[in-house]
Amino acid sequence: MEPSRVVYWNLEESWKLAFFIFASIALLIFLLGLWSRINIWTQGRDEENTLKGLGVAGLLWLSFKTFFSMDCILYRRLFTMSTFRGVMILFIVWSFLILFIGTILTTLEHYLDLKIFLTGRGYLVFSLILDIAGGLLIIGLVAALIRRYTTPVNRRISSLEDMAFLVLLLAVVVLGFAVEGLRLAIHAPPALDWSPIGGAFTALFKALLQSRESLLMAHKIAWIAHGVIAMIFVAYIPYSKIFHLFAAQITTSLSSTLYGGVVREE
Amino acid sequence: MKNNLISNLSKRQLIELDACTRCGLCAEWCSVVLAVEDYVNTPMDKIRQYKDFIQATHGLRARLLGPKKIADEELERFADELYKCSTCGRCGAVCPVGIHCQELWIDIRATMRELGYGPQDKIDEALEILEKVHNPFGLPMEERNDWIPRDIEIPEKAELAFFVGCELAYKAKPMAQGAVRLLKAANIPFTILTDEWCCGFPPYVLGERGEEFAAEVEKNVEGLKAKGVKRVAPYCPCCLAVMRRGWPEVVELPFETVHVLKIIAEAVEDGKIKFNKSFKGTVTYHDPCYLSRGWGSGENLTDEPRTIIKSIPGVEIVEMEHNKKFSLCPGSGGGIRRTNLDLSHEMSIPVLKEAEATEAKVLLTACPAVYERFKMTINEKIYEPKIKIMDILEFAVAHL
Repeated sequence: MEPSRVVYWNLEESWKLAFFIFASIALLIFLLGLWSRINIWTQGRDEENTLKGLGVAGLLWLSFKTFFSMDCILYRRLFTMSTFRGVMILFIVWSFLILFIGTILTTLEHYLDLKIFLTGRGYLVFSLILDIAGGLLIIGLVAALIRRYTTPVNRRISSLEDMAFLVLLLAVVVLGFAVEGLRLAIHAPPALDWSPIGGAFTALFKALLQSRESLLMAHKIAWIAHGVIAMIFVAYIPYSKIFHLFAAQITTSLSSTLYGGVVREE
Repeated sequence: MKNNLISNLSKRQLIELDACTRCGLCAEWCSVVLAVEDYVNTPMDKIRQYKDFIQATHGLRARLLGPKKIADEELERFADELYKCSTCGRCGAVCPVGIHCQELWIDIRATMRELGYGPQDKIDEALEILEKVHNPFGLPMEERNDWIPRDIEIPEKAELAFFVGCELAYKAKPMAQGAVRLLKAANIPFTILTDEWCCGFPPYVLGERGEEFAAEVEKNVEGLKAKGVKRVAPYCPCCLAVMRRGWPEVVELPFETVHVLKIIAEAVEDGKIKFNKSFKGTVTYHDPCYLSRGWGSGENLTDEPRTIIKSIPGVEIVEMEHNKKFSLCPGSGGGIRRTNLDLSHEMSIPVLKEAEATEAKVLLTACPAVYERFKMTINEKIYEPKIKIMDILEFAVAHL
């Protein structure tokens, strides 16, 4: 049998509908918040040519564009201050990006019936890449939590808000692996090597849960929890400090061009 | 709310407020935090608080249900913390996402001033003095040119104007004298404004950008324009900073601005200035905040002073642990000596200790405010360093 994955597997239509409604509400909350935050930026004085006359759409496009500038994508400024923090952020951002792209491709494939990523050898490679990205994301997030809440200085300056982002994202990724692990435990495919971390979760769940029914129930619960927390995370973005996802690349890029000699190590 | 919390901020600055990841680097490097040895009033907390104010008055909830009133006590407490800062800019220098905090703090101060929060009485007092005698020390106008050495003749007109500044004219006179002697030694023609007024930095950095600030700027620009100067060169880093950022807000400048050290360093490199006397021993150099991380300047003058020092025969430079763009702040700028003098006292000690640790014979500075700060620390017996303190120009002139 060709290796493949069925989207929304083990979910009844009612659950799918409930998730669709919940995701739509979360997305609406996200978009409203995004518009509101960027709208505030547009009310500032026009000072730099790069930002002159830009409205919400223009600033959003700039945010997307500047993300791919060398200073942003490689975190050069951060690396000049701390290699540990640089690696930690690279793990988090790049893995997050890979998983985000993976989710979009999966969605497109499912709704457009493309059969590129979710079947055959392509699926195995795709699965391996996402598995590694998820693992690196967990390492990055755990490192960030340890740094923030174990060292005396960082514990002193950190707040609960700083924890919310890390914990929410960690929950999404770990639950994602749990969903994968449970699905593989039920299907028992021969190609488990292509999902090393998901495979580890499979072994764990096989040891914990013996019957197929309990594995199916656990899969459903994990899937719903994964989906709900992921959507809460999305809705929370524009109302929290995670919104720096949209702002930090613009300031990093601007400071390199405006104040190259002042604030950046050449 | 009498005024708008975002009206003084640029688009970039509003984005900067949202860009903060609260990574904590600014807190670890903040000169105030290092001096008081406590993580209070950190730059990232100021950013979060101000962002919260903006969200309360301009965010989604404010749009749907109307702006929330921010309690006076909350704004007062925030403003109080905002002025416990020397605007040294170390926070911005280390920020991984490029938040240029120095400019952010002074622009938020401008809003606080407009709204009536913060040390209003001290700012009003400074303005009153400035209006009367056009220097922040309350010293008579007629004493402003007393620093001019009798043996130096300064032409009425030249393409280059040396902008003396209040601190050099009244307090750190050897610096002003050093500057003109070195310019003469390099055969560079220059003039000065004999009826110079304050550059306007003291009110500007405290958030005051009203009529009195504009009056000081206009008077100086008119005088320089009448002399037909093409380049204006201050020595005080604060003068240079406000000329580049604050003056253009009042009037279009018909001249370029350049720091005296840049001109002197070029003259040294071109062989126009030669030091004939040697110095046996080591010196260390403190990079002034507004030269190594200066807002509005768009350049960092860290190599030029070292070029001058190294050209003196026999001199060996030993760098302090924190140097160039990471140099420690001695608590002399940002209006902190006027608004939080005790904190300023405390901030000067770590810098002097770091200089002593180099075991150099002399600590050189290139900022009149820093020089005066150290003098105050020693004179008031706050700390007595075992190192001689000199201005870089004074030191250079002694070896001509």
